[in-house]
Amino acid sequence: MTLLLWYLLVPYGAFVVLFGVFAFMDVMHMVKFGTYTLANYFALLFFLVGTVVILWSTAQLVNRVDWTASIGHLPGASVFSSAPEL
Amino acid sequence: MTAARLIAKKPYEDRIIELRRHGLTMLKRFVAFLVLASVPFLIWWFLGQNFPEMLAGSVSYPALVLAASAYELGMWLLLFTMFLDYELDLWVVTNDRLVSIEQNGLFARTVAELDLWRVQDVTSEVQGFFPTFFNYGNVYVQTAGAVDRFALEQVPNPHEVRKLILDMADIDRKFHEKDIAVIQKIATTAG
Repeated sequence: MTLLLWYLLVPYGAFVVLFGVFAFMDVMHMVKFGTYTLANYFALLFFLVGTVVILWSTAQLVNRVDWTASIGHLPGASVFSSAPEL
Repeated sequence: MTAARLIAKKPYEDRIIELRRHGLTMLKRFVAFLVLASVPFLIWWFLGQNFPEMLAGSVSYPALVLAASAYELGMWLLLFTMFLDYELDLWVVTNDRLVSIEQNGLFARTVAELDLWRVQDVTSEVQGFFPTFFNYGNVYVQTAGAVDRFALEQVPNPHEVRKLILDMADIDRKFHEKDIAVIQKIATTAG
């Protein structure tokens, strides 16, 4: 079985989803329980802008990467795939 | 102000003071965040100086970028969660009660209150270099009830807050003389 580079995106994507869930809960807490002050609006805006900046920078840094490139083989998988048919 | 929704004000009740942690406690967390957030950049610089081939590798480069991105996202979320923890902790002193609203992480929120006339003992403490210089610390309020003592953590001017709570408790006791007499009677009978 060939390992492709885009497989690295799977754990990263899972982490981003987890980040999104916790960020959503944080924002909900702030809206529900926080005080309605200008400082808090700026803090929320700062957090959201920062998140976009991190994700955008990551996309810029990896946009030239060939994600279809092979990064190796799983030896165990080749044993199974070459097993003789009964 | 949404905190007001949590504190159902009585008709005769006035809000005397609202207390939060001292702003410096958040600043200390922010500095810690800056140090931790700079780690991937330092590693990147170190690799560039000593192992430049790692930053040019077709596998190592995207792997490092994704790892650094995930780390920075985690740090960013941690900073915001720390800010929320700071922002959502609130202590309100009224002329009748002391209300404590504390956020502990994302899934724990405690709202507690005590009647000022039940206050028996108030302690203020300032410990450490920064608290001494910037005058913030803890105030502990002990009541006659079975509830653990209240802790107002890292609030500005703790000694003044202690005096204020004691003064408010003295004033409130005058309005609860009947209650106090009943309690003393029960205590005498039981004793």
